[in-house]
Amino acid sequence: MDPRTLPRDAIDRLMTTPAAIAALPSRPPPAARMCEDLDDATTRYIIAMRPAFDDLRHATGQIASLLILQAAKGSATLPDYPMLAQTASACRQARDRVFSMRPPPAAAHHHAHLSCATVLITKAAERSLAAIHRPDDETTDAILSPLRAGWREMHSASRALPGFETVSFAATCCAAHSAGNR
Amino acid sequence: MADYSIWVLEYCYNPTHPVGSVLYARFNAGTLRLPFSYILMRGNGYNVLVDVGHNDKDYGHVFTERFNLQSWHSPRDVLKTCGLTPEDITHVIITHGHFDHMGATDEFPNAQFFIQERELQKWIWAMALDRRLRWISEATDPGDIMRVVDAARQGRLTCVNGPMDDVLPGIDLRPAFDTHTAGSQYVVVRNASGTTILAGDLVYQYENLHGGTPEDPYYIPVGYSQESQTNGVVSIAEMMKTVDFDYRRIIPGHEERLRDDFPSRTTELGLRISEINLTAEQASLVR
Repeated sequence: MDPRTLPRDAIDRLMTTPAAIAALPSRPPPAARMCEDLDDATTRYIIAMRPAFDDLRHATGQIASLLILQAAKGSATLPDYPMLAQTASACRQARDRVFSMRPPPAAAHHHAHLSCATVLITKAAERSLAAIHRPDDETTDAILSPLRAGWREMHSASRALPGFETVSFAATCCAAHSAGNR
Repeated sequence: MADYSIWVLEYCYNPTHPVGSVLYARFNAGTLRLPFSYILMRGNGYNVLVDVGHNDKDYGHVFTERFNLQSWHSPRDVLKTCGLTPEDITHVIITHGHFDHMGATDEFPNAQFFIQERELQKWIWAMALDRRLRWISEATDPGDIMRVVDAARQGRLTCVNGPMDDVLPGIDLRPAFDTHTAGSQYVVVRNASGTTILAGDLVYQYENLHGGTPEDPYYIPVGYSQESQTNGVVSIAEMMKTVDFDYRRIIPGHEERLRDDFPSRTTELGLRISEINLTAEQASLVR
């Protein structure tokens, strides 16, 4: 499935209806799938897709932080640097990387979620670039809606294969670093 | 003078946590029971939480499973043991933006939130960096940030810039910039019975305050800092001076031995409540 070819109403459904994801192909294997179960093609897929996943993760954090600052402090206080253009550009690069990948069978489910996340978060980034300085509810909703839907897809992707963490527990005070976490 | 009852409410714990991730450079020193908690203050008509714990609905559940965290319970369950609901919470002070402190903000629909603006600004900066620098932003969950957007839109988020006196009567916020995180802060409660400091993760355990030798104390860093360990130790020195060097007036973020120094009980959820201060207006939660 290529989300670029999804009709607009399908993308809108993804933004508003988490259950829409149930229509995606094949359920993932058990969440606790261990690395040793992965075939070489899937491992290569994970390595190739990690940067795109991280770019989308960063874009989500940046846009959400800017929305908080805008709401709490007013748009005049938003940092005026080319970060948003850079974010939108990173999302487009992620999109190119994701859609140019032909996933191996074991990664198909992950790729479907990551593709949806790419479309949605890129849309949020482009809308932010165009309009985040407009402090009205309609603008914020237009950014937040695809951002939230995209983040749900990121969570689904993170559960579909190992190596895609939405937050790293290895880099915090609570990092246990037991043998299984190395 | 304002007066607040103060309770430390455990919401889950790790039974076998490495000492080395709690106390700087204490490698191969075994494990300890590490509580994860938030703090409830009641007084002057306010119900205040310091931090809100981690969200178990989204990726936080992976955290719970991967680190073998025990007895995780929602804020609704934990507060019920105090006779409160999340809707009763009037104010939430976020000490810093890590997921185990800021993950459950959406559970408190009526609360006014306080966070240092620097914490937000640094996230924006960190998430724009080259991928090779991703360690800087790995501990921040974008989902947690997104959960705060609604509070901000509803006018329930105050971005604090530096120190703030009397955020509520008798409660001050003090920044500890570029320490555990870029925009960390701690809470000073000026009660009639004395000053108490709620340290968040600027202090994990008592050893950070006395180095393991209370009779000849020195300050040692927490096991993890995204910013400067030196700044962290300096912030501990500031806190200690504020409480006249009585380390028991500083409440660490992850201290199991509060049960030894303060009246405590284990609730029916298997979680500990420690009563740090009790005013005449409140009933004890541990007796």
